Amino acid sequence: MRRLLFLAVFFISTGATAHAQTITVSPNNVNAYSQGATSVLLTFGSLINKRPAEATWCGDLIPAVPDLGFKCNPINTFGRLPARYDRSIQSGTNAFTDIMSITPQVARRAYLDAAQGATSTFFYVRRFISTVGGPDEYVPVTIRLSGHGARVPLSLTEVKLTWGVGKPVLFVKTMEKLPRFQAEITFTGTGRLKGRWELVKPGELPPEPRDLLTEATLPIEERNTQKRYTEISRFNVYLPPTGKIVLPGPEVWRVDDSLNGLYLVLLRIEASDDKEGDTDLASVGAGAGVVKGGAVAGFSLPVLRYYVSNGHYQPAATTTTSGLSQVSPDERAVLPSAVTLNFTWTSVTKAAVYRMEVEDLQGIPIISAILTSEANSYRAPSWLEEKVGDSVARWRVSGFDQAGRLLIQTDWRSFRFRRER
Amino acid sequence: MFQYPNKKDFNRLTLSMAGVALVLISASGDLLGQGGTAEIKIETSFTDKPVAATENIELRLKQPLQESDGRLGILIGTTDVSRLFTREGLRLRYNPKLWPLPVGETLVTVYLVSKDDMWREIARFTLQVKEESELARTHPQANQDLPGNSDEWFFSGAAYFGNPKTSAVNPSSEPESSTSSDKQEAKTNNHRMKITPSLTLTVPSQPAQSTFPGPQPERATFIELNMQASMATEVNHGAFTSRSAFEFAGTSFHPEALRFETLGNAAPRVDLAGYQIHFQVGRAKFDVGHFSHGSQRHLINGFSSRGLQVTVPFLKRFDFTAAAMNGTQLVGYDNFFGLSKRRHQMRSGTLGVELIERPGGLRVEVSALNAYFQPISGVNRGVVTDLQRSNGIAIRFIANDKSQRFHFEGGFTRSLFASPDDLSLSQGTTLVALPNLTRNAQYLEMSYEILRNYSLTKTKKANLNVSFREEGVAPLFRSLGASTQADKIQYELSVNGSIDEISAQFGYANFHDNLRRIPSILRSSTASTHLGLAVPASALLNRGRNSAWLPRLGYSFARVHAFGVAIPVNGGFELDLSTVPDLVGTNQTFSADWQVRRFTWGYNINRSFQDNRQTGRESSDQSVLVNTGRVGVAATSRLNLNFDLSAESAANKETGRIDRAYRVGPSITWQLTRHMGVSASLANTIAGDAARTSRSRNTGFDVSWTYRFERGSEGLKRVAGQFFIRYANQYSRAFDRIFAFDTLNKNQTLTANLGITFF
Repeated sequence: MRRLLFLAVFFISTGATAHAQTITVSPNNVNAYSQGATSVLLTFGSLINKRPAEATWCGDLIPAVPDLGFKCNPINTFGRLPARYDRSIQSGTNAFTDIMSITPQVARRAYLDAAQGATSTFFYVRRFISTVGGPDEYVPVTIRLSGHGARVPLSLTEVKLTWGVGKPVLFVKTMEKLPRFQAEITFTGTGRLKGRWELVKPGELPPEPRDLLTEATLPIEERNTQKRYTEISRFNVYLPPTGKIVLPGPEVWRVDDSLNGLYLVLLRIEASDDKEGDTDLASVGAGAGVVKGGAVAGFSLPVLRYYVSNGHYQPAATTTTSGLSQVSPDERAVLPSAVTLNFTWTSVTKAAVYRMEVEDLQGIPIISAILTSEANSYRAPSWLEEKVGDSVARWRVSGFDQAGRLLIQTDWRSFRFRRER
Repeated sequence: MFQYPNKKDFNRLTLSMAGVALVLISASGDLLGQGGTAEIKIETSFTDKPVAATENIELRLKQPLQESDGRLGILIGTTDVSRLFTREGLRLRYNPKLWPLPVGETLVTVYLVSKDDMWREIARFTLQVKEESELARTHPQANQDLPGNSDEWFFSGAAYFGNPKTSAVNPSSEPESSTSSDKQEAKTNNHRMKITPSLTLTVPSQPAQSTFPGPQPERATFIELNMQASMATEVNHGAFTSRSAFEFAGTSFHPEALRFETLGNAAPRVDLAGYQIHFQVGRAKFDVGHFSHGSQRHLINGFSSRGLQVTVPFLKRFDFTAAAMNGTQLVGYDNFFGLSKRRHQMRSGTLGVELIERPGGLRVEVSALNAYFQPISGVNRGVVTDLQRSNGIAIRFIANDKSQRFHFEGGFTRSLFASPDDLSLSQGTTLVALPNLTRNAQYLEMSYEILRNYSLTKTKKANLNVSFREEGVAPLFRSLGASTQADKIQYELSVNGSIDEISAQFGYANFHDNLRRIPSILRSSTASTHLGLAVPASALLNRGRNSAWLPRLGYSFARVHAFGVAIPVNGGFELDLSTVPDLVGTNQTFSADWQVRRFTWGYNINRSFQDNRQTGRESSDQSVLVNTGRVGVAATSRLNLNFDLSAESAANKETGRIDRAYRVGPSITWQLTRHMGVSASLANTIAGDAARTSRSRNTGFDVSWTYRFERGSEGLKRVAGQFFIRYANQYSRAFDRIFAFDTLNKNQTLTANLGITFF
């Protein structure tokens, strides 16, 4: 019976018109991750004298008589779109843009339903209420269960911005380099992730929640109206169908901390070309063209905060990495326990003395070493691991000339020891 | 305003403290029994008298140091200056010409460093360094042999040894008249307390702005008052040490308040941004505030939030860690300990055992987790989630051979996961019931260093490492403390090698899902291959180190093949075979970086190709090419220039559409004087398609002038300030013939800010 209903819905939704049904949706069928969340951009068209109401997921459909279309079978309901993920908005020509964010509980119910022998397809049904006293209309989207990779719409289901230091907000001193931040992204699908890192500088108006949505989450006519801020860098990276990626932040020397006050780091994600997430406006009578829906997200992207103050007056000196660079350990290295740690760097010709510093992220020194010009490494004391403990520490190297003037300085690199004791 | 933690928090904290205290008392015998032995007697030239920053100081050994004993490591404060001492017989002489001594009273610690690099403290002395003018007044004969030009030395040395005054020992505990041998014994009476407050008030203002199209924003011009404050403490008292840091932020503009997003106008204007308190008594550690916890890959792994954590080593080979934390990262005074919300909390404990005497040789960790999370994103995170609960246990084995060449790690986790009724999801309807399910996950990793610093020639050394990894996670497995992908089994093999500066990596991974082979769900398989090379051209061409014009080269290639193993039955896929994936994706990156004197420049090219091969989607291919370049010039120590250039091209084979984007981004940073600086940046991005149906331009320009000043010395007398003026201009124009829109946005702002930092 369910299979027959599914076939009916499939052919109705792909066959342009159903009995008395006027509203159509694109895309009307998608693949979704069976073990977690998936988000998809949907456009409902031909909303004449209709306004949207709730959206429901369910395992099977029943005729909506006396209303129009097919609605969810109440005994097999998986959930309703939570208000926190409802990004739906009227758009274009009698159209309605909706972001369907399938939550983990919904996917779990669908999986267990399929595991018990039912068909693996389930449905997302949006109800539309007549504004002129006519019957309501139910418009379903068919969802097939699959893995998280290829042929699933490219969507971001979790984005975590982190300094890698366990603290949510950083306080730094003027001209002191920040740790390199990153975005830990969980996604479905595959394709390109492109966008920008931007910086809201002290005194600027903070972004509105709408400015923090990914571009693909907005209707096409609103995509160029999000407020822009100072661009730090641009990225365009390939996302293989593996479900997770760590997107590194810009090089630390690009991230300004010369001004006193509050800075906000923004991750701006642009819409990318992803066939699985395409919305065909013409097919639903909402205009012309295909709207790109790659990199949609059902939530506002997070923001990283840091505060800068004059806590430390830095004498004028270059802090570029040119000429002096750290070799090992790497940025964010997780070092083996009980092994002597060697800090190494490339030497520079004019330096008479090097200073290697290790400190914690509050700027409290753990150890430093003064080394003559021929040295380009420092073997740390055996007790360093104990001093660092479970915390994250950072290190850098400075070069000084014969007169003791600071010539050059590297950025900070963070590291920690692997917990094996 | 500050809100006191509630009674439950205090009760929990008290219980936790009591538990820790009991364990500490039981361990105290071991702790108090510690004490250094000083077989090697040392005298100093600076006992009982102050010295100048540029004065030679000496350490004299009472007896010769045998080669088998190792070497001496010498720290002044927290700075290792061993390399600045030259040895002449039994004397070790410090060379202050290279690095002057720090002014103030500082601790000199001498270690014996064994051949296997174990550092053992053998002596401590107090070094008192005075400014030369003061020294000449109080000890006229003390600086008779000082070299000239000492002001210069004093300036740099005093600044770069850290803060000598704050790292000095308490003079009362070590009287100046004591002998050097007295001070060797005095090392256990080390009492120190350091408090570092900081308060910054800033007055941001916007005297002018322009926004197009209108209307002009409500807050077109403004003047505000913001605050940042921090307090850090460090206490050493015998076996007890503690460190803490509290940070606060305040604003008169409500939307900038830390918790405005969640509390709106109820958010406090002055709020707690974060704090960390760390106590250590001997080997026992206690953390309160923000930290990361967990190392069980599938149970709890690097979980960051606010809470309490205790780590207690006991019986030599055992250690126990317990933590209770809030379910998500948070800021603010409320929920101070992170334990106020029982239904949004994680509790975890881990018992670790070193099975053999060699640390890290063979270790076992057993962990347990109990967690209940509300559907909340928390700070710095966005997520699609719902109400969840999990309990689980995990065991982890870690083994290393004596030479650290072989490494093994394996773990097994069993987790009970429940999905309580989420009212935001059910919204009054009856949902299909979700059973509580217990599922397993496991992994193992092995690696072996086949070659470690193997000498190929006199100068060339080779390294080679092979590793294998297996990971299996059952369908519907979930533990709230770790991010896992359920219903998946994965195998991975990688080989990493290097010859001097040339390094190469190769990796192959294969995974598939739908482990229960449910016929209606798509079963997909993914195989990926990765190759990476990094090589300096000078090494490739066997040129010397002075081949500055030769770049450092890098290349990586990755290929992924993801495909549906079969057409699912009753899954809806049979109606449209193009829904079953068969995709081959390749991604290649080549980079070249140069560094010649003050110039750095680099070029990077990335190309990816997605080749769809499934029935009905054969032509849905996409190729993307990204070229980026950068030139940086450190013209002087005060002037830095940078220029970025990028070109992106995306070709859709199916539609024939080619999208392009070009970006130019110059920037300059110029420290005009010691106090004054200017920085400016421009970013201009032009995008559009080859058929000219759409086009956009986004330009951002930003220039700021800063003036910094400082009065007073370190500590409470210090006041530092900054004034800046900044102009920013954002221009955005976009039109699209197909979607029929043409938008233009322009925004210009002029901001000024005065910031004063006290302390």
